[in-house]
Amino acid sequence: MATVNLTIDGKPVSCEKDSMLLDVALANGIKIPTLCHHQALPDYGACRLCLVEITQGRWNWVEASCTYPVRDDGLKVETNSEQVQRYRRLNMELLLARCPDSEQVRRMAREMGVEQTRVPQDGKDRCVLCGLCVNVCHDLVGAGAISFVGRGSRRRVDTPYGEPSEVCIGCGACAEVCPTGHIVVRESEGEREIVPFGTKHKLVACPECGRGYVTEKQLAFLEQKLGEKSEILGGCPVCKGRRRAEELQKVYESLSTPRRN
Amino acid sequence: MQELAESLKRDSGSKPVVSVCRGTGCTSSGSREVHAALQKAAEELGMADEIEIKGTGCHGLCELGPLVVVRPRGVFYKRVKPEDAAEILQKTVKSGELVERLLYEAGGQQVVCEHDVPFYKKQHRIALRLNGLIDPMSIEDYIREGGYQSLAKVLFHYSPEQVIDEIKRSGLRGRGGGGFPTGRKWESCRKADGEVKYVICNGDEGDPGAFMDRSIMEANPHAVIEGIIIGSYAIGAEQGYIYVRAEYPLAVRTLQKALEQAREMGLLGKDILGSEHSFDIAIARGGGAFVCGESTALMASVEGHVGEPRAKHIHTVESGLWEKPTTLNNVETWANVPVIIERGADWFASIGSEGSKGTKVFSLVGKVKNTGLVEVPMGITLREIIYDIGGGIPGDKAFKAVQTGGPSGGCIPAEHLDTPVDFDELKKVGSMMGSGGMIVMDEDSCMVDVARYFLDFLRDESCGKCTPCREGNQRMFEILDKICAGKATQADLELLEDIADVVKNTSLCQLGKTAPNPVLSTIKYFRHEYEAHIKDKRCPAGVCRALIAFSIDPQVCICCGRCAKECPVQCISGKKGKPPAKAKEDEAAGKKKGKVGEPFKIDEQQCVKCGTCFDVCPVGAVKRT
Repeated sequence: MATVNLTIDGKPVSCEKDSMLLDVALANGIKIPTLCHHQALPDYGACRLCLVEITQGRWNWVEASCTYPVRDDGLKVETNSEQVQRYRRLNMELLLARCPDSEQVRRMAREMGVEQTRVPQDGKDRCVLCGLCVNVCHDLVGAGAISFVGRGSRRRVDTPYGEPSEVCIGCGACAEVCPTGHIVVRESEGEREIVPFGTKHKLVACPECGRGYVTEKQLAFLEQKLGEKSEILGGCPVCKGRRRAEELQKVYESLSTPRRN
Repeated sequence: MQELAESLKRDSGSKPVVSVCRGTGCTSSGSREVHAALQKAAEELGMADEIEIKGTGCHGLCELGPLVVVRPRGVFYKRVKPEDAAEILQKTVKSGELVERLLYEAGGQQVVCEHDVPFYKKQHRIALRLNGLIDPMSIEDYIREGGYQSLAKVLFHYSPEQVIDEIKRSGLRGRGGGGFPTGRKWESCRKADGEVKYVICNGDEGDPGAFMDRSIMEANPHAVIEGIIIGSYAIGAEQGYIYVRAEYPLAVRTLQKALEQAREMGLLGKDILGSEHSFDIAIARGGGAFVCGESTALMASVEGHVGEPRAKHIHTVESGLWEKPTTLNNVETWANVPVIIERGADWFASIGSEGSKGTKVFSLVGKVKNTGLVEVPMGITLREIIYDIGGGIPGDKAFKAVQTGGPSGGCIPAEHLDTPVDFDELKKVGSMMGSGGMIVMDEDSCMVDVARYFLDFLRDESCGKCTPCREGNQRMFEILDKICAGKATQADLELLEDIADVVKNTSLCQLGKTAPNPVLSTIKYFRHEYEAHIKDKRCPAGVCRALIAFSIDPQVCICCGRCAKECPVQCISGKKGKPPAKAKEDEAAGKKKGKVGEPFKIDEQQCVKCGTCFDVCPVGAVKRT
């Protein structure tokens, strides 16, 4: 693989050709704010906060770094130039007006110096439409329970027809990757609900401690995927951890006995 | 192919041809009935075997439809009605006389032949050259006019590289809006790694008021198909797709039929015309989302995904449809290809301007006398299109602006009317070529309202993927709405400019990057109109309802009561009769006083400002302020 040289904020950096610029910056300890980037998922390019200013020869432009593959030597990248800050703040202002109730969005805006918005803060939910939940559900989990619905300002993430999803396995990956607290997992009395989609799941109790740790559908889904290897599933993560720790302790004990002699 | 064309020519002999425009415009003004009446009249007059009555694609001058042209002479009849059918056949076809009332008139002079009509005179038709001549449903008609000979020529006499070289030398640039050099696109795709490659024809014409591609697909589908097959040979593709929106049912039907005919004749399928090139085309129907005209969104849609764009740093010629090298060109671009091969790159390059070669089709609509489809050489000025071809503004009103390039194009004011129509020149004045929409506006258009209208379209058609386009277009629309309602401040105008800037520079695809054009260009050229709305709470063009009021001048009112009769909310009161002033005069002169009226009045509280009273008042007593 060919190596490409560039500078980011004046710092000389090299990377493999076709690496995404955001990844290169992060790998070199240069922080760029993002809402729709997740290391486990392909970049989507939705939030437009990871803007950087690129200069190549006589060309100079602002670009979203997450979807920009570094292909040529000699790029000069500025991650915090005046222009970048201006555009980033404007996009942040639009997102804050959309999600005024999201603590995460508020904090991020504050860090950028955006306290107020000039457009009314009339957004109704905490979703910034970053697409992480949709992508994790489709591409990593493989369930495809949620998707984007509608377009333009009516776009939202939802289940088919807005009804509790039949294919959702209740794994909670969507809530895990959600950067704004819009999707959350609520558990009570042996039941798990994925909010705001209203999908409810029965939890399976851990054979050891009795705590509900996995949904029935998730367990069936994993057993089907793992086939013969399903035995690794047994028990809740806490009990599995304890068992593993006990095994390790035994190993240590057996190892340390001869050394003492 | 040549022999076939000649034998077809011999068979058809020299029968007179009566072509009836069956394009969408003329069909909606009744050409179906005219077509049927002509056929019936031909039977009744016993002329059915001596003449050919042909339903063709769009002739272009939709304003004056239904259009009928009698060939070989080319006599041009406008606004033909079914009852004119027999007379046309008897007089014009049989004895060479003219039906004068149906002729085109310009400056008091009657014009007989189609090519002398000013609308057609300045046009140069390449993509539309066979519209009006051939029956779109007949492959024989296309072949008779030389069709598919370019395909035969490249398959047996050109290497793929030679085809690419010819297209490169012709200077053809993409007609879909981007203006990317077609030959270079093909070359990159040919050189891209991969066994499987695709070609796509973009027929997802989504601009409101645009019908260029539709007319080509409906009038001359085989030209598009021939172009695509030539392209597939040059690139090395075995499968192609034509993406057409489902709202164009006639285009879909016409293309389907044309594809069947081409397959039957061995022009598609395995070993085309006995060569070693195999290729076929499928139709992919789109759901009518504007964003699906964007190449990556279109490809996602063909693949069965939601039509949303992706970043294009890795070009589609390297990784497009199903991640294979893909060449996507617009309908009009494909339709130009066979003609370039037939007449040569040098011929094509001799037409047009320095950086933009050949011709461009525009759908000329709005406040212009001759609305319709025009094809002009690149480099012609906007003034020539609007005034010489379009015939100027109706009702002697003043020209205000022309919007080129579809909803996300800019509005060009009168001072730039001499701008040549060219990919680069239009960009310089803040607009773009786009796919060829051209909307003319007169003094009665409020430019803030115009920007609001287009942003309303764009905020709805944004796919919603990226923040600036989704949120920004919505917010720009809200601010424009506020300005039109007279509720905005100067700070709102600054915010509008800020948002336009961020949407333009940070959106993911071209829809977002160009969406602020209507806003930015109207602020640039018509800032005074924005300021009038904001500072003076006044709409200079008298369009924005919140900022206008209607009143009746009692001195001018003739007490006829028409305003009150037409008012939809009955907010006008008064008494019909002789105006009081006139009654007084008559009385003084000793004449009969008669029934004395009372000047009419508008109740401003009830008025919905529809403007009907203003339009119907015969003496101009209704004032709009």
